[in-house]
Amino acid sequence: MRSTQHVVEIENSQGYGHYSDPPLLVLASLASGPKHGHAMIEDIAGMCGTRLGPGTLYGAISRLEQQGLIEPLPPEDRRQPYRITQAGLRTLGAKLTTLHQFASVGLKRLEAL
Amino acid sequence: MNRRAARLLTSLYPRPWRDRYGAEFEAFLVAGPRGLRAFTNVALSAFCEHLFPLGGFKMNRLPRSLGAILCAYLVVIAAGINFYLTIDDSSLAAAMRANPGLSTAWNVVTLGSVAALLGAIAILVPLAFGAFWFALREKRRDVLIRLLATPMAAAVLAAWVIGAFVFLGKHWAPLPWAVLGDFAAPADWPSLQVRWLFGGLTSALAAALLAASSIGMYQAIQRTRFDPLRFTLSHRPFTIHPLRFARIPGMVLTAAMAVMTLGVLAWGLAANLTATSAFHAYSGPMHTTAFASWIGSIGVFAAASVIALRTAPSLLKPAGE
Repeated sequence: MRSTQHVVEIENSQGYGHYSDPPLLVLASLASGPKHGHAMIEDIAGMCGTRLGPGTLYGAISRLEQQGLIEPLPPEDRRQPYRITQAGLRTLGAKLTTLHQFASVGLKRLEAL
Repeated sequence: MNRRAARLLTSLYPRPWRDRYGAEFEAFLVAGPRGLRAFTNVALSAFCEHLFPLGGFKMNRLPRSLGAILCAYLVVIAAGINFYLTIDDSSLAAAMRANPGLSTAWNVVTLGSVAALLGAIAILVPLAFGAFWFALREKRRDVLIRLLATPMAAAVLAAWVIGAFVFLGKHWAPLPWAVLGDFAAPADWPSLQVRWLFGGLTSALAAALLAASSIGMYQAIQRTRFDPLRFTLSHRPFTIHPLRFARIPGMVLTAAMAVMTLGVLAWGLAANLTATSAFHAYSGPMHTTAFASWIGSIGVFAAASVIALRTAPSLLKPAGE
């Protein structure tokens, strides 16, 4: 029987382990403090191996800002930092809880194979 | 990525998106991602933005509201000038001195215009400074051109009036309020047809320039990313965010326009009752009566006030800029 660890290592090496839900990734990145675009890209790459493209990142930023989940801070030089709002923290918490439950059940099923 | 490529890619996005994110996105592209992959990603994202545009930009509400109120104020200035010049040098001015009701209404309009001017200055100084700074720093010629629309319009109008004044023998300036009838006009003025023609051209030019100024100012505010202004006064550091700072003066300006509207309304009703013959004399623009001129002014005042009053509550709603 293959272990879960083995499956994850194999799939990660093929690129399947990358998680791509740009708005959620942006929220998760901002949960550790305000960041500008480049810092978000690097943080997300370090967090889950996904490197968002510039258009994808700003597509997520614009929608999150419109929903009031993140907000801009005063620009630093030419960089525009953003921070997560209280509503953003609640949304992130709810989504991660659902993902956690989903992941737990999925991994248990894999272990049972 | 070089600036030209970044600007080209940013220009692929829909205008509402560019108005909000264009400047920061362009700076973001210039500072970092490059290569075919980044180029393709941005191009595809821009295409998707056209297919599935954002439903609206809450963040743009404040600049949009301020732009609408300032445009309303520009129109009120035009209506106020018409109101003033209709009365100036006419028998209505003498009637006002003899009638306390008329002079009280006039004083209300004057008070409102002073408050409106102070409110507009308080809004415009930080906004204009912030927008000029943004335009110069980001090399945004489009913003600079729109900022210069109002002073350019005033210069064009002044050049037209002065040029026509010289062309017509230096006896008559082509102002709509100076068309007058043949009985009231001095002998050395041009004929009534010429006065009609040039007065009408001035009116049409002024209306076109007013529209251009309003659109220019509105778009300049929309296209600018207002950064906090930091300065030192008496060795103490101050920081002003132009848009947030403009909220209270915006409310003052709106209230002042409403007061002016009520004053002009009261003045006209009082003039109709107490100075009937002077009110129906031909002292309005383009050889119309003062009454017709007042109807035009009050209509514009009321429309501008309604726009400002409907817009002003959004100044107080909490939202990011």
